[in-house]
Amino acid sequence: MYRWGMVIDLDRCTGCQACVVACRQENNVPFAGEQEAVLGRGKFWMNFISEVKGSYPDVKMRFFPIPCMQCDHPPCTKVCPVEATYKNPEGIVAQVYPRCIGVRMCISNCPYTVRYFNWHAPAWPDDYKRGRNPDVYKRRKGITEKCNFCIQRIRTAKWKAKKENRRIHDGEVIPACAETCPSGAISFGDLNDSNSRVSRLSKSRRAFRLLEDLGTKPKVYYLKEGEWHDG
Amino acid sequence: MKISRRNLLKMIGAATLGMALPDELLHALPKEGEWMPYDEQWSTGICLQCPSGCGLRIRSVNHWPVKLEGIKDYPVNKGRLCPKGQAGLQVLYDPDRIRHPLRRKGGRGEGKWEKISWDEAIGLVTQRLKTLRQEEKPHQLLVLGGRYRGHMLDLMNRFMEAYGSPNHLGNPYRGSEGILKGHFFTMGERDFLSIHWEETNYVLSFGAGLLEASRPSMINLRGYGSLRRGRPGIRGKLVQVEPRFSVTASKADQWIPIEPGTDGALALGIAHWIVKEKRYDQDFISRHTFGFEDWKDSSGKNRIGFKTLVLKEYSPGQVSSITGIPEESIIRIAGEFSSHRPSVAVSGRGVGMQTNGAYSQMAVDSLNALVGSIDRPGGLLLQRKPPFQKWPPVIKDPIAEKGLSRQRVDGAGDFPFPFAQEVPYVLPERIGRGEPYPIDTLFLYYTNPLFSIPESEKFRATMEKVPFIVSFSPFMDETTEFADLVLPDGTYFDRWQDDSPEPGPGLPMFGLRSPVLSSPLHDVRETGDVLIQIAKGLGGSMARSFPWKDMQETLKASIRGVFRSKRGSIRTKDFEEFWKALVDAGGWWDSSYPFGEWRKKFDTPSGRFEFYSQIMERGLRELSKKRSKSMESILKELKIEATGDKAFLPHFEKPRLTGEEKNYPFHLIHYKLMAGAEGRGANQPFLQETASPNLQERWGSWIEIHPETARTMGIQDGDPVWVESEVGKVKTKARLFPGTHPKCIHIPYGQGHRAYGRWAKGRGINPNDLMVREYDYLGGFLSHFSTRVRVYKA
Repeated sequence: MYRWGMVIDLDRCTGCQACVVACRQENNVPFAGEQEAVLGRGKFWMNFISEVKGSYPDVKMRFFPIPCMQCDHPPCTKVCPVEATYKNPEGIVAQVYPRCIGVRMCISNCPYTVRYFNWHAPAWPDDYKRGRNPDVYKRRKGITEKCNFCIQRIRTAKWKAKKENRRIHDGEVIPACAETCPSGAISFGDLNDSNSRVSRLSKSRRAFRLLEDLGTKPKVYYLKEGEWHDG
Repeated sequence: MKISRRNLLKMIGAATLGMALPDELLHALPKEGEWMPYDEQWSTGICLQCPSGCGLRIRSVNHWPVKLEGIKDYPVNKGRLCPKGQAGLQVLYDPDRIRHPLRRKGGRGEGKWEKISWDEAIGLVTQRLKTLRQEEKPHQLLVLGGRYRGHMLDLMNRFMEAYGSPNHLGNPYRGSEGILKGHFFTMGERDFLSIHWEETNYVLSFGAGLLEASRPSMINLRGYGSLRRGRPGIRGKLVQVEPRFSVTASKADQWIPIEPGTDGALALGIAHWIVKEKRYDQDFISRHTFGFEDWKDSSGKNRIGFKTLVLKEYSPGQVSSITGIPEESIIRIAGEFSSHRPSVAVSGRGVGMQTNGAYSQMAVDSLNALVGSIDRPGGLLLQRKPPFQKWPPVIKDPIAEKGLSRQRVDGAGDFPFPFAQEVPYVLPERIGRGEPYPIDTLFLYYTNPLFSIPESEKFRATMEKVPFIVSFSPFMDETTEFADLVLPDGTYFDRWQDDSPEPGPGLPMFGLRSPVLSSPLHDVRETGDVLIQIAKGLGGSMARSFPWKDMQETLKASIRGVFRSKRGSIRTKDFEEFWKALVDAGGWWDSSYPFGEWRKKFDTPSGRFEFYSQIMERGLRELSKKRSKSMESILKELKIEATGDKAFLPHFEKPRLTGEEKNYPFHLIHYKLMAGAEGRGANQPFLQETASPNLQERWGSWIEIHPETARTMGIQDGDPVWVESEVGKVKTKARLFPGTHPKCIHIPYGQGHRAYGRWAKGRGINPNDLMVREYDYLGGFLSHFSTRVRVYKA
C-alpha cells in the first residue's frame, strides 16, 4: 500500500507561485475574478501565504505554499454529515463531489483553510473550455473542492504499473505543483517506502509540519530555511 | 473492436433498444473514477511569456492543448516552468485575440473595424510599399519591433535592408540596455550574461530581480534552488543590495538597503578594499585585463588606471557617505566576496536603467574581473552561438542603397546618443517636426509603445502624423488600436520560429517553435510568412533577397549549418531526419560549455577585459572629430561630470532626478512582479489572480509607502491617493509596506492598460504615465528611475 506525502523545502522556495498556477491549469480550477477574489473567494488548491514582519531596514518576509495537508487525522472528514469527504486507503483526503451537499462544515473545521467552496458555477469563457483537463471531475456550484495530490495522475501511474506488474517507482508520479516548481522545492512520493526521497527528507533535521500540536498528523512536511555560515 | 466514444454511444443506443449487453461494453463502461479512452498527444514548443525562452512539452487531448510542462532536458528550464509559463494556454485561448485581418473603418482609435481577406490585406501593404519605393522614399518606412526571437530579427533586418530603410527600431533588449552597455564598454559583449549557479559560492546582487523578473528568469529560479541545496554541505550566500525589500531581498542571506542610484559607488567601494588588501586575482588581472595599473599610451603620456582611481576616490568612508551603507558592511562584503570564490556580482535594471547606468554596470563588471569570475566555473557565462548557416547576402538596388544612406529618424548612433542602437523615446518630437524627414508607413511588430513608453500621450499625437500604420499583433493592444490595418500574427503556439534564449545557459543552443494545432485557431498568419510574401510581391531585388517559400524554409536554411556541424544533442545522417528530431526535441544544444575563452570572447581593442574602456574612448574621439568639438565639451554635453581618464573608467556619477525635492519629495521606483513582469501577462486571468508576495494583492495596482511616512501624511492602509509627477498624475490606493524606502514610492509595473483585452483593460495604473523622459546619454537608453513624485490623499 502506498502512503502519499509531500515535502516542501522552504530554503529552495522562491515565492514564484508557479505551483499555484500549474495546479489551477491541471485541475480546472477557474479564476475567481477581481470582485470575488477581493471577497477571499479565490480557489487555490495550492495556496500561497506570506508574512511580513519588522520595520525598515530590519524587515523579514516568509512564504508558505499550502496545499491540503492530507492529514492522517483529518478534522474535516469527521464533521461531514454525508461522508462526502474521507481519507482514502492511500492517505489522501478525498472529496466525493456528487455526494457533497455544501454544508461547509469541513471548510470551517480545516485548521489550514485549504478547502474551497464553489459559490458559483465555474465560469470559463468559451474559448478557454477547450483547454480543460479531461482527467478531472467537473465540480458544480454549491460543493466543496480541494487539493487531492493530483489523484488523476496517481491513478494513471497505478494503471501503468499494474499493467507492468510492478510498484510505482519513486518520482514516477508527481502532482502538477511539484512537476513545475522551478527551484525544485517540492518533492512527492510514497512515505511507506523508506528509500523514497520524501521519506528521507521528512526525517531531515530541518523538517517540520504546520500546527503539529493539533495532532492532525499532516503528510505535507516543510523544510526550514538554512543559514549561511562563514567558513 | 476499438472502444471509442462514438462506438460506446452506438452500443449504449443498441443496449437501450433491448439488445443483449455485449461483454465489451461492460468492460468499457467507466467504473467509478475511470475515464473514457481519448487521444492524448505530446508535442514541443518554446514559451514566449518572457525572454527566457523555456522549452515546452505540450499535452493535447483530442487535438486541443490542455497543459504545459517543461522539456525535461532543455538547458534553460530542465523540465520546469514559472507561473507565466504555466499560464501560457490563456494566451492561446484568449477570447480577445484578433481572429482575422482587419481594416479600420472609423477614426483612428475608435475601434471600428471591418474584416478583410489576407490577400486583400497583403495587397494593400504591398501596394503602399511599392508606391513608396517608386517615389524613391523607402526610408520613410519605419519599423518598431520588440520581442523578436531567433531569426525573426534577422528577417526583419533583411527586409529593411533590401527595401532601403535605415529606420528599424527593433531592439529586443529595450528596457534593460543599461546592463548591456556596461558589458559592451568593458568586454565588447552584446549579450546578457547568466550566472553559473551550479558552482558559485557567493552571489552579490545589485538590485537584480533574480527571483522576480530578470534575464534569464528561469535559469535564476532554478539556480537559486541549486545555490541553496544543490550541493551537499555547501550552501551559497546571496546578498541583495536594493532600496526596496523585494522578494529576492527577503530570500537573500543579507539585504543591504541603499540610496537609489548609488550602486556603482558601492561596487567601487568594495573594489577599493579588495585592491587595497590585494585580495584580487592577480593572474587574471595581469593576463586578461587592461587599464588596471597606470599605463602609458602610444604617445608616451601617463594614463590613470582603475587601481589608482578606486584607491583615491572610493574608500569605504567616502562610499558610505554616498550610499548610506555603514563602512563595516562595505568592508565585510568585500572580504566575503573576495574570499568565498567562485563569487559573482550581478545587477538588474534598477542599477542599469539610471542616468549613470552604464558606469554603474561597468563598476559591477569590474568586481567580476577582480575576482576573475568571468567565463570561469561559478562565474558569469558568456553566451556562445549555435553554428547557423549564414543566409546569402542581401541584394540591394540603387533605391535601397540611397535610402539606407539616409540619417536614422531617431538619431541613434549619433549625437547625443553615440552608442545607442535605437532611441524610440525621441520619436514623438522628431516625427512631430518631420525631422529629418516625414514618416509615411509604420509597422508594429510585437511592441506596444503606447503602453510601454513614458509620456505615451505624446506618442499617440505623433502617430496621427503617420499616414499609414500596420500592426502584426495577435492582440488588440493600445498601439494596435491606432493602426489602419491589422495583419494578425498567431501566438507562440502557432508559428515556425527558432528561439535563442537571451541569455541562455552559456552553451550554444536554440529552441524551435512549431505550430501545435494542425491549422491555426483563427485566421491568422505568422508575420515571417507575411513579410516574405510582401517581399515577393514587391518584386525585383526585394523578391530576389527572399529566395525562400516561407519562414519554415528560411529556418531550414539556417539550421542546416547546425546539422552539418555534427555536434550537440542531435546528430543524424540526413537533414530531414535532423529536422524531424529537432521538432520532436524542441531544440538543439551543444554538449558542453568551453570555459576560459577570454581571448576569443572579449571583443575589445585590447582583446581583454577593459577597466579603461577603449571602445568608449574611440567612439567619443570619433564623435569629437566629427562635430569638431573638444572631448571635454562632448563629455559635458553628454552630461558626464567626470573629465580626463576617469570618464573612461568605471566611476560614480550622481544620478539626475527630475522634479524639485521641495514639491516632489518622493523618488518613484517601479518594480516588477514574477507574474506581472512587463505587462504582457495582464490579459491572462491566472496571472492577474496571482498574489503579490508581500501584500497579497491581486488584480490591480497600488503604491507602496513607508508606514511612518504615511502616518505623518495622514494616509491609512488602503486609502485612495493621487501620485503626481511633473508630467502626469494617477489615482490608486496606498498600501503601507515596511520594506519601502522612507523616501521612495514603489509601484509594480504591468497594469494600467487602456486596451489589450477584457482582463487587462482599465485596470490599475501604469508608472509610465508618471515617468519623465531622462536618459543615460552615454549608454543611449532611457533612465527609468529619474522621476520625483508627490503623493496626497484623494
